[in-house]
Amino acid sequence: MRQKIVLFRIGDSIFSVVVSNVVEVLRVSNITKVPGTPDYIIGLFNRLGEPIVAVELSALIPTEQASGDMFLVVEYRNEKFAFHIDDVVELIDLELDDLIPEEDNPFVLGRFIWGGKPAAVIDLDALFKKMSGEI
Amino acid sequence: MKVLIFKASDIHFAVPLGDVLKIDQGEAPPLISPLKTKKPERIVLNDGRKFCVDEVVDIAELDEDSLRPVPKLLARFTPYLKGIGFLNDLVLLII
Repeated sequence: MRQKIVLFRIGDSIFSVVVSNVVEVLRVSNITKVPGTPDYIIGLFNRLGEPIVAVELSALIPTEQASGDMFLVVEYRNEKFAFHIDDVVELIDLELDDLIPEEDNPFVLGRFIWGGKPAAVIDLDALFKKMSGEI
Repeated sequence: MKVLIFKASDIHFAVPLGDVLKIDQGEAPPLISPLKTKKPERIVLNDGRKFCVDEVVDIAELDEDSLRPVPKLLARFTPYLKGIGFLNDLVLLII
């Protein structure tokens, strides 16, 4: 199945999500910490009067921690949340059926080669189930 | 809805003013472990709960339209939260 995906960078690693799940990219300067939450939850921020949960992917997927104030807001199953990222790289067409399977990480659908480097497609379904406690 | 806004560990919380019995100085556990507070300022609620806070910040009127439910991804970790409120640039954790 051919899909448009958004590539984004965290440290030296390239990740991606299907564009239909992307709401927007924005810079966030004010994040409210929420006591009692796991390491992958940075906190909450206000997006147009809606509380958005900010997520640090490096606590779920082996990668570096993003260092700036940029967030990629995604929507999955009517819930919006935001990944802390360093940069948005590109929008590309990708054949998801040709992904190289990822055995080591349950939150990655698979990998592909982009610009000579491996890039990963995030499995939003698996990630959401983990974060919502369904698995 | 009128709320009492207070800070604990540099986080802004709010509690409906009607739930507050009194504010005084005294011993009480922190609002949420492991939050630490610096001052013995204590909020006592009508239901008997009492907790120490760093600072009582303000009393404010929160627009009902600005109140939001706790996001699903947070709810199971935050049974102490009743909702989320916004006041200007502040995100308020409503207990």
